[in-house]
Amino acid sequence: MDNLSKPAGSFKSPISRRTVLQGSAAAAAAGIAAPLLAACGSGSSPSKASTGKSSKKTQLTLMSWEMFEPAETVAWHKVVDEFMVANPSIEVKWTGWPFANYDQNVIAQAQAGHVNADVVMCPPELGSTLIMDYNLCEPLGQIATSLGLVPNAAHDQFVVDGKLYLLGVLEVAFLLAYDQRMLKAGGFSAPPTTPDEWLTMTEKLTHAPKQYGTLLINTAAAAADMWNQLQNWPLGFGGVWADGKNLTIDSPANVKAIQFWVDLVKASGLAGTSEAALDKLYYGDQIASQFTVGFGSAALKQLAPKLYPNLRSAPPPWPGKKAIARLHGNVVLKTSSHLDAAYELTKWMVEPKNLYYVTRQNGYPLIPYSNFAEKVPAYTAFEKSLPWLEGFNETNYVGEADILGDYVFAYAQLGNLIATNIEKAVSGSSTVLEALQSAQSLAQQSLHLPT
Amino acid sequence: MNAVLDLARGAVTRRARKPRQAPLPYALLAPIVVFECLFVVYPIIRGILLSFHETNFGVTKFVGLAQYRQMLHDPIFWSSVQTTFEFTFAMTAVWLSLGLAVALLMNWSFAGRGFVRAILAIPWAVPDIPVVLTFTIMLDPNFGILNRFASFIPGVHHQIQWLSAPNLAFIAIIIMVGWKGFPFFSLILLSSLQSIPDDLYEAAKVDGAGPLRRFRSITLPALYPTLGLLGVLAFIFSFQQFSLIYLSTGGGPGTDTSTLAVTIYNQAFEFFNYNYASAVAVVGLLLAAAGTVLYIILQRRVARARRLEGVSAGL
Repeated sequence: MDNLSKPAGSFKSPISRRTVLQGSAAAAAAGIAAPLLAACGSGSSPSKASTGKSSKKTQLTLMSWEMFEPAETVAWHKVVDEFMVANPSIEVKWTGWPFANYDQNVIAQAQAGHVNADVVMCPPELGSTLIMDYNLCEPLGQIATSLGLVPNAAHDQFVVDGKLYLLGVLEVAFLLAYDQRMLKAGGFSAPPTTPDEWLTMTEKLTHAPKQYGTLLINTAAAAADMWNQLQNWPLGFGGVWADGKNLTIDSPANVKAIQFWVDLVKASGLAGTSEAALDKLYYGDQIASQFTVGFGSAALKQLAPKLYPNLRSAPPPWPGKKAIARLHGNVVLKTSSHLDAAYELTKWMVEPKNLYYVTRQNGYPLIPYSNFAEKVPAYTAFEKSLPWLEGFNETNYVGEADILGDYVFAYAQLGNLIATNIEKAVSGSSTVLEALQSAQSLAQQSLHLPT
Repeated sequence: MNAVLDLARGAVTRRARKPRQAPLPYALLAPIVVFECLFVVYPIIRGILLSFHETNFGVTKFVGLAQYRQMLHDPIFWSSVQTTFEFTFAMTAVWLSLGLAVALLMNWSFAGRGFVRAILAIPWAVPDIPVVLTFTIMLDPNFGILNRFASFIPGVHHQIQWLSAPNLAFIAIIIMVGWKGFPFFSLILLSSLQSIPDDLYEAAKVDGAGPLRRFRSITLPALYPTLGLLGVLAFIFSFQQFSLIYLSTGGGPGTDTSTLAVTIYNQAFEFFNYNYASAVAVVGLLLAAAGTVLYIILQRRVARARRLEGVSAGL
């Protein structure tokens, strides 16, 4: 159109509106394409992580959620920084995600064909998946032997064909945590030791809206955290979620266990309350007790400064005093291009002095090596200095494999199905038996098991 | 012969005179086309391919329709299809009716109308996370303001669990998503309302038509095209709704609020069944497309029927 509208023989300016617009469009296209091409070419490809052409140092990648834990990251970074000082030819790069979606992202990388790390810190179910499902890990038992450490029973879950594939760096174990002020004020001189005592204590200490007896997460919106607590309950009633390859979600023992859990939730007066609201109440000294993992006291000191000095613990108030201990540890990936350096980093992180340092700084309750006190005598004194630690000594800890059988790898899947169905029992729209039967049926279908 | 040559010469000249397409429009479109291809079309194609495979640590095996066969026997999948369609139809009705009601209110002239119009757009502007947090607190059985008011109702003795009881959780989700999205629909309907000539209303008043008759005979027919378009958009928006549902109920209790979007997320990122999740996503895409096409066909048939009715009335 413009060509036809211009009179013949008219002077043509070298810079026209059209050329300006054309140039701008081309520049915009280049501006968008350039970063896209750069993103395709860069990133955490294994060759880039390992060649380190620009420096002579060996580049190691440590994958962990700890870099996103504000109360814990400083101690971990210090340990790793000291490793780099002691090993000047090795440079450690941190990578990872917040704990809430850590497992998902690691598994996503694994499914895509490559986990972009040399050493991976794992929660127990992720460790089981990487070791047993994907066969991605190197044996590490020789490291514990060289350090003279005896891995505790929680490590048994990560032993395949007699070889240990994960070395624990922190163990978080469940127990009954309570505020001694509230118990004393309510007329209780000691924490409960039986389910009936626990139910009675919960009822008597609940004075809504100012005070509540027990914190139990019970909404499907927080299904993962709900399951984290709930998974313990069958242990007090002789039940398990799976026995080997046999799913036993709706066993009579589990029905009894979960009925007790529902009764506790209702007695606490917090049925249907969101996890965020429950946490706010707990840190605001309005909940007398909760069944929780005792770890990260460094975080609790910041979040609940009045609660922390009054925090005490007791074993689970049910027969057998069993509870789950979740071992988090490091694995070394077979795909690492620098296995020797990866072994060195892993060894450094479980060196008794370093493990003790992190435990002390971050307030972790348990060091998962049976003879640790012999290696670091100060650990015994440290344990005794934490008044909230007493419950651990009386609890009989079991691993995830003891309650989930051969389905540890399906921890999240089973947890989601069980937790979302049990919420119906809390709201009264189904019985506990119906809820567990529904979860059993759905789990069998999801895991392709014969019904 | 000369005539033939003249004809051919003329054709060549005409072809030579055909104006060249300016490259500028294509250049301006290029970035968005590239973006859509890279971040929309390519992932869809990859997802479809993934649904025909089984992947395990980078080793991919073609399994044909195995994922789809699994889906046919998955009660969670069928439950989520049912929930999705129930939710979609409910949201479409809520958004269109609430949007129309608010648009009609805003079409009146009153003092402070501009300010009211501005604050009515706030729900649309608020991000999803604060919306979920606010509604979760309001609906809390123990502290929520809704239960405070409900306790004044005679006969209501227990703390209503809005997000944990099956039917109530579904209603709560509809209220929350409806509140979040209605401004979009009301603003578009408002602009359509304002394009209806006042003369029609005045003429109708003169003829003795009351407000309801004017609404039925003038307003609604004028809004049909807009309502049709908004219906399609409401269907699509509600079909793909994820964050508000997942963050408030997690798809629970049980699977009572698990839509296809929630199921896809759970399968992929909670259960790590990426291939199966892709298959569910493909089926979701087909269902959404089929629903949209069906809706458009129905809407056109209704419009055609109305045109014929108008013609015959004129005759």
